[in-house]
Amino acid sequence: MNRRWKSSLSRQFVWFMSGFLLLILIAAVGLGLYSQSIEDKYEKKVVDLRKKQQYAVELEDSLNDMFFEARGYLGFRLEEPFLSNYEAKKNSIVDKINQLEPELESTEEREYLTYLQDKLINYYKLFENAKGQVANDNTAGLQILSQNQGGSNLVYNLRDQTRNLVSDVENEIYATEQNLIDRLANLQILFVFFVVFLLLIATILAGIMARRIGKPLQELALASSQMSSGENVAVPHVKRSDELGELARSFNLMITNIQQNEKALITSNETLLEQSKELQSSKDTLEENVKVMNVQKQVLEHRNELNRSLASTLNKNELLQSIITNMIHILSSDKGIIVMLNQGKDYASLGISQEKVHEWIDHLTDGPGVKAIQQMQYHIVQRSASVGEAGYHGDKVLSNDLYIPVVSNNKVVALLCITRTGVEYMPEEVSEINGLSRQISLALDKILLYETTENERQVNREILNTIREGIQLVDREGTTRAVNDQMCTMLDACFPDGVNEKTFVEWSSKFLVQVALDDRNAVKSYVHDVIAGVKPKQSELIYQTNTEPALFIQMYYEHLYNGDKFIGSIFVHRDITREHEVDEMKNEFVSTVSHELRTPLSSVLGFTELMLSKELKPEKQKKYLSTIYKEAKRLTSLINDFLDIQRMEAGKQNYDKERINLKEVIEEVIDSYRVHSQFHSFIVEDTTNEHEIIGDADKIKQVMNNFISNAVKYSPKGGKIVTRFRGEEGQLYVDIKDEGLGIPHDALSKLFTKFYRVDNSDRRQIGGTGLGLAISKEILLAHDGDVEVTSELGKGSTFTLVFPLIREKLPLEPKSGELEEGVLIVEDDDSLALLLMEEITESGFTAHHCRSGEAAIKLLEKMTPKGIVLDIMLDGRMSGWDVLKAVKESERTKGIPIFVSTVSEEKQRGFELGANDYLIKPYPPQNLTKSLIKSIVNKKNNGKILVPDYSLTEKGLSD
Amino acid sequence: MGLKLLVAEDEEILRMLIVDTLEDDDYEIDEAEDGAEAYELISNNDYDLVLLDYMMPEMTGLEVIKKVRSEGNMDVKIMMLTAKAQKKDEEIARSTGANYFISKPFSPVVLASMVGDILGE
Repeated sequence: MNRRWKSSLSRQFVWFMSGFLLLILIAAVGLGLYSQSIEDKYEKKVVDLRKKQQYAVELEDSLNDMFFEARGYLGFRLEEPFLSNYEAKKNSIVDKINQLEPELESTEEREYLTYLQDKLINYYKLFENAKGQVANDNTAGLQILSQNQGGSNLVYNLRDQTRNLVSDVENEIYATEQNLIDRLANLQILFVFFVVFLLLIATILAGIMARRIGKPLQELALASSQMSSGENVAVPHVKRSDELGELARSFNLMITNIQQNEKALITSNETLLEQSKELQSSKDTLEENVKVMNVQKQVLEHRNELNRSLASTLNKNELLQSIITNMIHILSSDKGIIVMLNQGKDYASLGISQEKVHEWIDHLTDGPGVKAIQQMQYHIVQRSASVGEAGYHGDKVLSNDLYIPVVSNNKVVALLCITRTGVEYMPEEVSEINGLSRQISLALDKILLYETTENERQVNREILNTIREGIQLVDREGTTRAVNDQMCTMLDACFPDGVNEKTFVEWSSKFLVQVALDDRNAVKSYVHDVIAGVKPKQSELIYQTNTEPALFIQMYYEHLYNGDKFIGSIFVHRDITREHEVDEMKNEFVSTVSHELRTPLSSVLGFTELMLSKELKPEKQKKYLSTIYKEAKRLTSLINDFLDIQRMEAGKQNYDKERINLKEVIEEVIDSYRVHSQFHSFIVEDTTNEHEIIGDADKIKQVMNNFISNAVKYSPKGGKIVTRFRGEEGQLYVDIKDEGLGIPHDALSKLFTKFYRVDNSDRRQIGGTGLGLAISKEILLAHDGDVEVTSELGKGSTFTLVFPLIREKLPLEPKSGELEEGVLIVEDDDSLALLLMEEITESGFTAHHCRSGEAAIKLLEKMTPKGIVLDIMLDGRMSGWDVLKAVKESERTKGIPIFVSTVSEEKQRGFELGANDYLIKPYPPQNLTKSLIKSIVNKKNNGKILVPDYSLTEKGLSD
Repeated sequence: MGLKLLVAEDEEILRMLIVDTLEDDDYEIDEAEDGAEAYELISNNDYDLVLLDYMMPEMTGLEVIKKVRSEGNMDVKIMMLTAKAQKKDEEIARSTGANYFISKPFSPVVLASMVGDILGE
C-alpha cells in the first residue's frame, strides 16, 4: 500500500482531494442537522404555547360572558335568557379548564388553575345565593352579597387571574423566539469557524503538494541547465519511484547518450581533417593543371573567334581588327599590326600608337617587312627591346618581330607583324601561323569581293531610285526581289517593316487594293500573266488608283532571261496623271470648240441653203444675208479667240511691251465706244497722276475692249459706265463699273474660265464666245497684273484691273563715278535688250549692249563692267555658258557678278558655273534691277542714298 | 387640221432658221427658248414632233427627254438637234429616248424632208 502511494504523485493528489471533500461533506451535514433540530424544537414549543394561549383567551372570554350573563340576570331578573346562558357558559368554562389543564406545565400555572377553580366554586355558590335573593326579591340582600360577601371582588379577581395567565403565555412565546435567535447566531459563528478551518486544511495540502512536486522539478531544471552549460552534475531524484523519478531517469539516460555521441563525433572529426588535408593537396595539383588548360583554352578560343570572323565578318575593318587581336593572343605576343597592301592601306593594330603605325606603314617598302613581302615567306627580326617593351627590366631584353605575308593568287595582299618581347618564336608556332595566313588570305579575298559587289549593288540601287518610275523586280514564283523608292512613294506598295522581299500573295494583295475597282481585274490578270512568263493581251496597261486624288498609272513589264531560261519579270509603273489630265483637257477643249463653231456655222449654212432653195421676198433675203454676215463675223471672232487662247496656253503669245501711258490707251478705247452707244454714259475718274506701265498697248486695248463691251452688253438698259484710275503701293488700279444685270454670286468664281457663260434668260440675247474674260485674264497675268470682280445681281458689276507701275525712283541708288563701266547686257533679242536697258538705266546704272558671246568677250578685253546680264541662247557660235566660263576663268574678270537671263531652266548649272542670279524669261524687268542692286550696290555702299546719273544713262542708250 | 410641232432651241437665229425652214408646210409651230420651257410645253400639249436642241440653259435637251420619258410619255416623237456630232452622242440620245437625231450644222432641206417623212407616216 505504501509503495503504491509513493509511486504516483497523481494518486496522492487524488487522495488528498477526496479526504478534503469528505471533511467538507461531514461538516456540512452536521451543521444542517443541528440547525434543523433547533427549528423543530422551536416550532413544537410555539405550537403548544399558541394552543395554551388560545385556551386561556377562550377561558377568559367564557368567564367574561358568564359574568355578563350573571349580572344580567341579577340586574334584570330575567331567567330567560340570562340564566340559561349563564348555565351554558358555566359548562363552557368547565370545558375550557379541562382543555387548558394538560397544557399547563409549570406548578405555578397549575396552582393558578387550582386557585381559579376554587374561586369559581365560590362564585357559583355566591351566585346560587344571589339567585335565591332574586327569587326572594331581596335587593338588599343582593347588595350585601355583592359588597360584603365580596361578590364583585371575586369576579374581578377571577378576571385578573385569567388575564395574567394569558399574558404569561405571551411572554413565554416571546422568550422562546428570543431563544431561537440566539441559537441561530451561535450556529453562524460555528459556520465561520468551519470555513476558516477548511481554508487552513487547503493551505496545508497545497504546501505539501508544492513540496512534493515543484521543488524536485526545479532541481531537475537546474541540473539540466548546468549540464547544458557543460558542468558535470549528478541528476537528483533518480531513485524516486514516481513520475519525477521517471523523468529524472530518462533525463539522465539522455545525458549519458549525448556524452557518448560527442566522443564518437570528435573521433570522426579528426579522421575528416586528415582526409581534407589530403584533398587540399590534390586540389592544388589540379589547379595547376587547370591553369595550363586555361591558357590552352584561351588560345583555342581566340582561334575559334578568328575562324568565326574569318568566315562570317563582312566588314573589312572589323575583320582586320579581329585578325590582329586574335593572332596576338594565339601567339601569346604583346602587340602587332596588319596592313593591307591595297591603295587605301587599310590596317588594324593592337598595342601600337597611331603615330608609330603610320610611320611603319610609310616605311613598308624600305623597312624590315620588305623581305617577307618579296620572298612571300615569314621572317623574324630579333632586336633589343625598346624601353617601353622592356618595362622595368634592368637586364638586356630581346624583342622578336614576326613578319607574316598574306598571299593570295601569288601576290602578297597583306602583311602581319607581331611582336613578342623576351621569348623567341618556336618553329612549330610559326608553322601553325602559316596555315592561318592562308585562311586570312581567303577571308580578305572574300571581303574585297563583297565590297565590290556591295558597291555595285549600291550604285544600281541609287540608279533605280533616281528613276521616276516605280520599278519592281519579281522572280518566277512572283516573290519580290527588289523595289525602288519610287515604288514605295508612288504606290505605297512597300511594307512598314522595311522588308520588301514578299511573296506574291503578300505584295499583290497590298498592291491590288490600291487599284481602282474598275481596273482591278484587268491589273490582276495582267500581273498573273507576266509572272507566269506569258505575254499578256496588252503589252501595257493604264490603271487608276484608289487614292485621293486618284493617280493614273501606266504599267508595263519586261521578262528577264538567263540565256534561254525565264528567271523573272520587271514591272514598271509610270505616273501619267499629269499627261492624262492634259489629255482630258485637250479633249474637252476640242469638243467645246467644235460645239461652239457648229452653232454659227449652222446659221451660215442653213440660211444660205434656204436662200438657194427657196424663192424669197427681197426683205427676207436681206434679213437672211445680214444674219449670215453677223454669224460669219461671230465665227471669225471665235476663231481669233481660240487662236489667242491657244497661243497663250502654249506660252507662245508675243507681247510687244514698251513704256506706255495706260490712261491714254484706255481712254482711246472708251472714246471709240462713246460714238456707238447712245444709251450709256462713259465717265472717267482719276485719283492718281502715275499712269506709266510697261505693256503691250494693243493687247491692253483688247482687254479694255472686252471689259467695256461687256459692260455695255450686260447693261442693256443703259446707264453709267465709270472707269476709275487709282494708285496704291506701286500698283495702278483700274475699276470698270457698270449699272447692268450683275453676276450671280455662284458664277463669280467661274467667270474667268474658258467658255464659261452665265446662263439665264436675260443674257440669252447677248452674244459672245465665252473666251473674252479668260483671254483678258491671261493678258493681265502676262503683264504681272491681275483682275478681280465684285458684283451685285441686278445692280451692276465692277471689274478691277491691276498693273504694276514703273518705279520712278529707287530707294538705293549708286554713286556716280563708281559705275562708269556700267552693266553689260549680252542679249540677241534687241527689243528685250532695249527693255532691260531702259529698266536698269532708269535705276541709275549705265548699260552696254552686245548681241553675241564673241562680241562680249571682245568688249570685256577693253572694260570691266560692274555686272553682266547674260542670255544663254546667243547669235554666233558662243553660247552664254561659254561666256560665263570664260569670264570666271580669267583672273581679271572672275569677280564680275553675272546675271543669267534666259528661257532655259538650267538654274543648277548656272549657279554651278558661278552665276550670281538666274532669271528665267519672261520675268518682270524690275527683278533684274533688284538683283543688280543686291549684288553690286549693297556690297559696296551700305546705306548710301544716291542720285541717278542721267548723262551716263543717255550715253549708255546711244551705244 | 395642221400638225403641231415644237421647236426648242436657245439660239434665236437657229430657231428662226428652223421655223422658216418649216413654214411652207402647214404646221402649227410652238417655240421654246430653254429646256424648262420645252418640258412645260411638252407636258401640256400633244405635239406630233418635238425638235429639241441638246445644249440649252435650265435643262439640257437630254434632261428634257429623260424627264418626259420617265413620266410615261412614250408617244411623243422627239428629234434631237445637236452640235455634238459624234456617234457616241447619237447613241446616248437614242438610248435616252430620242426617236430621231440630226447634227449641226444641218441642211434645212434635209430637215424639212425628214420632218415631212416623219409626219407623213
